[in-house]
Amino acid sequence: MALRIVKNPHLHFILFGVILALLPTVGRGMGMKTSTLQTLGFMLIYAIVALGLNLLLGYSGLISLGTAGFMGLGAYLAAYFQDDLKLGFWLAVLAALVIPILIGLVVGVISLRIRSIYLAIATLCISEILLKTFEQLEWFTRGTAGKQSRYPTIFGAQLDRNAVFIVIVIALVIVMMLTYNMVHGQMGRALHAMRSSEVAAQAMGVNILKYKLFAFSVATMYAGLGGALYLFFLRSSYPTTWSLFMSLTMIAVVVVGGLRSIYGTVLGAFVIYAVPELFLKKLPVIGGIAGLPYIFSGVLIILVIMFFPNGLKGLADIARNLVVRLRARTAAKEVAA
Amino acid sequence: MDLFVQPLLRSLETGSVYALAALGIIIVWRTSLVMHFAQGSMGMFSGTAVAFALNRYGLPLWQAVLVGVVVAVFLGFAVDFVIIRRLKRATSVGKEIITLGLIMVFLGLAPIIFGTDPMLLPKAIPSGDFNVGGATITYNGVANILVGVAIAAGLYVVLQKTKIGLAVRATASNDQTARLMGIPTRTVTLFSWATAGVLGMLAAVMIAPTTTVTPTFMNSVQVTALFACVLGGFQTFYGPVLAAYIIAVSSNFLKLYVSTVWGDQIMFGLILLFLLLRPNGLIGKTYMKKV
Amino acid sequence: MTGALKDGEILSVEHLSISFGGLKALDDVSFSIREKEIFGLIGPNGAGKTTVFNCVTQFYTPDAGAVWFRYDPERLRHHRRTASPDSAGAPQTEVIDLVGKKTHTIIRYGLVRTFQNVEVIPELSLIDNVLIGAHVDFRATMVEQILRLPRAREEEKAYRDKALKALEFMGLGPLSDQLAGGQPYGVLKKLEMARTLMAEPTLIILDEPAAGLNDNETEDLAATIRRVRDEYQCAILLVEHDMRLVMNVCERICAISFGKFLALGTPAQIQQDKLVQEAYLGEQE
Repeated sequence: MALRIVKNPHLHFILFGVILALLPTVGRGMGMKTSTLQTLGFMLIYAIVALGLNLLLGYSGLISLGTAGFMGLGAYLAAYFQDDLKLGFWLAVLAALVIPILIGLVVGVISLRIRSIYLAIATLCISEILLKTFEQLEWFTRGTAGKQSRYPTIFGAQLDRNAVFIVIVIALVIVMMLTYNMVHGQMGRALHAMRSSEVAAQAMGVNILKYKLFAFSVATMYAGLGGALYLFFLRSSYPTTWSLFMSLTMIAVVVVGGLRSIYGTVLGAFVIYAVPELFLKKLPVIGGIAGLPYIFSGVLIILVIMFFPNGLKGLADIARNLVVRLRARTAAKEVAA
Repeated sequence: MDLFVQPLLRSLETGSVYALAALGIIIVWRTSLVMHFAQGSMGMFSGTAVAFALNRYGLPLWQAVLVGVVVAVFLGFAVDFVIIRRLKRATSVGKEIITLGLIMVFLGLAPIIFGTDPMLLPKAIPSGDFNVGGATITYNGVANILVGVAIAAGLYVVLQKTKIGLAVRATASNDQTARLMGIPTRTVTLFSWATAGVLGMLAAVMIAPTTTVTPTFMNSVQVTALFACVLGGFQTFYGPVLAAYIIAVSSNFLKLYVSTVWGDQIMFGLILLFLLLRPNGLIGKTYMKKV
Repeated sequence: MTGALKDGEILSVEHLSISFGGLKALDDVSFSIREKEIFGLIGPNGAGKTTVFNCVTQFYTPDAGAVWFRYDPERLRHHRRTASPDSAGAPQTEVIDLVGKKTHTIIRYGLVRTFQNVEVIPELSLIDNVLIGAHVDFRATMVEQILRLPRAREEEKAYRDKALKALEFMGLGPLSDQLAGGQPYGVLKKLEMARTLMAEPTLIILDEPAAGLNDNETEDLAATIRRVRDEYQCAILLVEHDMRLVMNVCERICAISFGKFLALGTPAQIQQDKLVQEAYLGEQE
């Protein structure tokens, strides 16, 4: 029983969350700058969004180029519901979750019936449409001037920066747990079957369209959530944030962190978002170059696909596989004997 | 101002830009089976090189374009030689993600190499108008249309009538068989990436005078070119060209008569709806079996 | 439409035809399989064996013909999550034409297949691979599963026990928690069989199960096929190249060549059949 608790992955996620949540307090004691906390908060938001994209890319092999659009939609919806309609934190979050899913479902149903690569093109198009909306629809987004917001109030308590950071951590832990449940059990097996061979999965009764739509809906939902958290943390939103570059960065997080890996995705967010912010930009000479994070992410994507198809997580797997293979061989001998 | 011929002529001008970019995407698709998401960014990069040569070193436009051709061919070769041909084991999704990575690389490289100030690129033919039935079109506009049509037609002839074209089509239809038949598929693929690069550069040079040269100035061309490929179907070379002109014309008329702001967006929506009815595009062959 | 199948028959393929790009892959093929029968479908290379059962399992939609299948409506109600009416008396069966049904719905009728080049998921353990066979049996909704609500947990446990039994039946019990990746070919073949058993099938289609097995393993396979039929009371359709296996285990055999029906009968009859001999001798030379 004790072993079971130690091995329970949900407890690991919670423990991981507790450590993250202590960062603001512990960090201040150790002289951590506010800007560092800010960077870490955004990194965790990237991890949340990338977890959804990882489900999509990792299990259905589909690419979405609309992540930024759905994130932006989540951010503006959260601001609109919280600040303009004054409906409070929970309804703002709900809107940021539900409305992107509805749009995503329409796009998914249209494009997934045709050919899987069309999802990438259709989402790219939706993202461009949304970006245009963010620029033009002034009553909703205040256009290029930017939408200003404030820290939310939850259960009557007015949050500050550190409290919003903890909200982000809680959201991340919940998202990690839900994602873990999705990729284990009956649904997880169906997703694995679909990834391994769509033909075999169909023979076992897996409805491919349904699971692809499911994966895409989760990706849009996490993007909407990430967008809302982004707004609550930064207290503003500008259309330029939600450009194609944001969508590409999320793909970089997934690829570098490792497909189908939950902790890998968080690590990927650290490498792709936090490393340039915390370290690269402080390097002498090249640190000042504006395009450096772009090149860093782009080159990493290319190198990882060329040489480490399983990302950072893959390096750990190679070692683990060796052990598993050895064990399998001994057990096979036992069966034969 | 004529309200039909004038926008039609304008549309043909932009249609040529989309057609060239779309042709690049199709050539890469047919020979490497990769959806070339970086077509626009690579065009942006070599197009910026043209503007740079012109603005910084004062080269005349035609010489600057030659510089652009060299840069584009070099980039095309480099991408195929260094990355794509070493990816035999990667899935097509993996290769597509690589082209997404390339977008970031070129987006980041352009300001480092060419500076962060937006540049201007003049028209190839600075002044002069034709008068067509009450509407006017600049000499430069006519030149753009002619270049677009000529290159599309030229590529069509090369692909359909020559030995090189046969090699490309054989590579496109079956890489392995083509190699067994003695076709140098690696060379074909190498040159198709270079050709795509040059087409992208030309598209950039043609669209640049209407805007400023910044790292993102080819984004809408990329999106539209992808849509031209989807609408025209991936099976032929002329389908996407035709679709590029259709998209340009309908976009212009939607902007003029329906909504200046939302014209493109409405058109994208319409294309998606059209695909529901004809999933393989305008010219696409259907592989649906009878039930 | 119960008239389409005779009493005691589970599957009847009638006048099946399909062509690919003008080439007739199947031309008016008909045969039927009885309940709990081990039935072989043989033919030289390119005869269209695989096409037949791709048409049966609706991976292809045939141009013409019907695939009649007998099933228990009760199990369909279970999969559709609808309540069953109070039906007293003997179990009723119904007959349906599978042509035009969506590929992923076929298993719900009790028809499961294996694959020629074993399709298992290397990243999952053996028992998880077997559990995929019960995919359509789960009644917990997606939300219940994501939130790990009680019904989802109970089902998972129940089917896990069932999967372990299927693995043990195939002699793979001790390996249940190991990853499928890296296991020997013989183990993977058995694993695939165990997975089909999870669906409590009334008909299993095995696609060239002997491919890649040595003589000893093929002997073993013959015994396993009989054991599966006896224990699980299902019919088995064997699409096979290996003559010894077919002649050894099948009760009746249908031979086809170049997409056309050649002969149908007991192994002895088939061995004596002139057309079959010609088709095979013609190929060997």
